[in-house]
Amino acid sequence: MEILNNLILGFGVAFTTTNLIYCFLGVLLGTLVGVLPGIGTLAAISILLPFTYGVDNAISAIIFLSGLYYGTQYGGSTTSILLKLPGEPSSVVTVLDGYKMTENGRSGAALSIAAIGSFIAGTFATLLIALSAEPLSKVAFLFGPTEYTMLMTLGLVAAVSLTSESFLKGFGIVVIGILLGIIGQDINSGVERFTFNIPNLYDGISFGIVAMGVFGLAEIIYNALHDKIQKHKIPKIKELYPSREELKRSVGPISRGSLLGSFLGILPGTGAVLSAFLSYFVEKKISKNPEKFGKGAIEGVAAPESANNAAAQTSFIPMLSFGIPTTPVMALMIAALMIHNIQPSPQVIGNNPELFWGLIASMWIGNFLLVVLNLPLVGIWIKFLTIPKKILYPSIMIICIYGAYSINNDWFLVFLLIPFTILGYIFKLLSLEPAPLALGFVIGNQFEEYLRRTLMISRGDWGIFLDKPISLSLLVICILFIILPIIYRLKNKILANRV
Amino acid sequence: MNEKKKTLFSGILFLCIGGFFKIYSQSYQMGTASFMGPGYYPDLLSNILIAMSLILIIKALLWKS
Repeated sequence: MEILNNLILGFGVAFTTTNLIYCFLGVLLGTLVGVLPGIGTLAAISILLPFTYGVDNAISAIIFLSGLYYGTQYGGSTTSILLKLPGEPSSVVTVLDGYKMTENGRSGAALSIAAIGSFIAGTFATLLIALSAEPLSKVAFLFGPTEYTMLMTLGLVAAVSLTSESFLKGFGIVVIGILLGIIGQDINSGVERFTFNIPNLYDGISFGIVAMGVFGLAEIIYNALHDKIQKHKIPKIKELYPSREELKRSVGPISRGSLLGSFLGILPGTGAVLSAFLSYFVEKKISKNPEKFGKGAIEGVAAPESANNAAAQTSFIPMLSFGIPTTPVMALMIAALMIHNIQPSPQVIGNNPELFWGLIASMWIGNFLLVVLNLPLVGIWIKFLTIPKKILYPSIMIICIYGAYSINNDWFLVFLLIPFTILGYIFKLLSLEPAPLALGFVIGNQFEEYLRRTLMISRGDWGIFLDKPISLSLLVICILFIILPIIYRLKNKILANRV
Repeated sequence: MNEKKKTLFSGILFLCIGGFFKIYSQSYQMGTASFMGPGYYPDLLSNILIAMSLILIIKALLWKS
């Protein structure tokens, strides 16, 4: 039983005091930020990313960040249920029945089921990651530079095609991300590219600064300027635990949600959002009383909350095994690992088993902590919603500035925040989704390296991508991802014109 | 701002960024596909971005409300 040994190794790593503390801190901070209005997962992780640069080792850093990630998801569902305020897109569908349950006086049951469902789904997804690690790392070795170049292209194209309203705009943002990532010294020729001869730029722009400006500060400033100030009435939570009957009704939705979420999480794009929606509609479809949905059916909370958590966990699989970010959050994880000189790739599992299995074990521990520690603390989290924004937003900005400075103890980086905040703000004004920028930025330089190697092998012949079967099939899938949405839209247009 | 204007300005934004990187990358050695110089990859990407920006701008100009 190699997996058993690996899991024992993993738990050995995750159960050290330091890592337990980082896991706990991540989960705690994540929940807190997830509850706060106006700060999404991506913004939260971007703002806190620089603080992981100073952490001694990569394992603790990634354990902290992943704790932060599912903590925010958890916090997001809490506010959806209690206040009809989905903190994250992945908990939008939870509002439908979750908030109704609150109105019916069953908020405690809804919160508990969301937490229990997430925990079960998380456990299932963790096991799945553990089981898939070995076979996936073998598949990855079939991939040469040609296949890798194509796989990265597919990852980017699919992520944009599945999440952006407009492929052109989304992919344009990816390309801008890659171009920004090029800034700095070219590893092959040693030439400084796009640095304006500023020595601070020779090593490239720290991804922390780009993320903090574009995803963090821009979003906060935009919200500060455009948000109407709302006062929330905080509901009283009477009973925290679901009844036996409610538990029984949730078994099916939780298991189906876990399965669906685990599967969709591996695919590029935002698996968490898609799987939450899909699992809700699956439950509604197969339910004997579909009319109960939307009126406070516990199944409508159990299924999407399990699915989005499972998907959030399994999205680590392509990141850890291929080094390819399928979601912007995973791009941030890769950036954090790269700071600690770990380039996620098929070799990571073999060369760095402590990292891989330690992270897996910590995910399970983190999910456990969310259930046992955070559920009783719900009352406290909700209080954070009453922090006035005129205190909240400036405090976050101070944290950002401190974070930027602390990367290198360098004021230059603080000033570098300004252009990226402006860029992020322009994106907001034009309704351009900024998230794909992270994918491009993180993957760009590796992409150049693989493209260079591929074309060196083929002596400059681009046809090599068509000659190799794996690469050709990836290319075909890629093209399908681009043209299918166009065909679909055209079809709808023609149908609409006929009517 | 309506959708048409947003698309138009997105296109213009992409065009400016693409154009900037395109012009700047001309100062580096291009090389060939088999032996890429430091300018090859950024030049390629700028071309893609400029192409996308042009499609966006044309799309916006032909927009029917």
